Amino acid sequence: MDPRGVLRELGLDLPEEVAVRVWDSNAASRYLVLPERPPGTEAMREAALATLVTRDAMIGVAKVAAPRVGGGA
Amino acid sequence: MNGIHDIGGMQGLGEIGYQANEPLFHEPWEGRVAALLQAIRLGGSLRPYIERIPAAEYLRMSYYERRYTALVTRLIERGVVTRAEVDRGRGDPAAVKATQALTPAVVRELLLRTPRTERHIELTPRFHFGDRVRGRNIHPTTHTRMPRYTRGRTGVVERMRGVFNLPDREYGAGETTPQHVYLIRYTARELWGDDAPAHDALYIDMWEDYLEPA
Repeated sequence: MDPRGVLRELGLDLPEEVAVRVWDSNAASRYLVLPERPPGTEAMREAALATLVTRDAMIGVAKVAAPRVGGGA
Repeated sequence: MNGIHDIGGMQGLGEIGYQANEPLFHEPWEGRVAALLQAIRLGGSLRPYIERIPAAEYLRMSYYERRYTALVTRLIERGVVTRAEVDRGRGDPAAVKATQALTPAVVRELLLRTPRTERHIELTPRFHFGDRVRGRNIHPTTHTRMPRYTRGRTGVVERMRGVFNLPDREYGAGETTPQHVYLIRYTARELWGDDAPAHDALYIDMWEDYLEPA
């Protein structure tokens, strides 16, 4: 009923201009979350990108944080 | 069934209780239940058994308690074990069991198996891409995949999913009733009223019997 409220409770506050689409996985279809690539990671390869991804990002309730300057795995 | 599990749109359920760095299992027994669920493949969904847990107990139980309760109910109903055996925690020596010993090779094979429930039969679909459809006002007493928040609500066919058995009949009368399944798009406002954000939407798979033309 209030997906934005649920996300907020999990720590993700989405701006109004981002449309929220809820997928009710009630039947045989299953969904895989593809986290949004954070800015500043264009030069990073798959293995390095994988270290940025968290469980919460993979279940769609958090954004992947950009690597800290000088860090980047 | 209009059961306690069908909570879409319900309020007053409290906080989610978000835990940072949550452990995979909170108690060792939860891991054992997860392993049991993988090892004991009796076929079919556990959901109908979970939904039969009385409402007050359902709300009190944790995720793995519900699954354990449903699994035991199913094992007893299918004659794999008796209630007395479960209570004692060991098999009745007099009972004849045809259970094969589980080996790591068998477990690996089971884990890698993807359940495929799509029926490859030619059926003329009643609805097509772009059709406006309304959720029928039905209240099945069996297991169903139609959440109550879709009843009477109008959406649009977004995609054809293929042909699948209707769970209501399969888990009710034990009949296979294959029919088309459609991905339906509902606007958040159609479901939750004018206070919902204008551009938000909800997508859900609906069996043909759940829908009527709008």
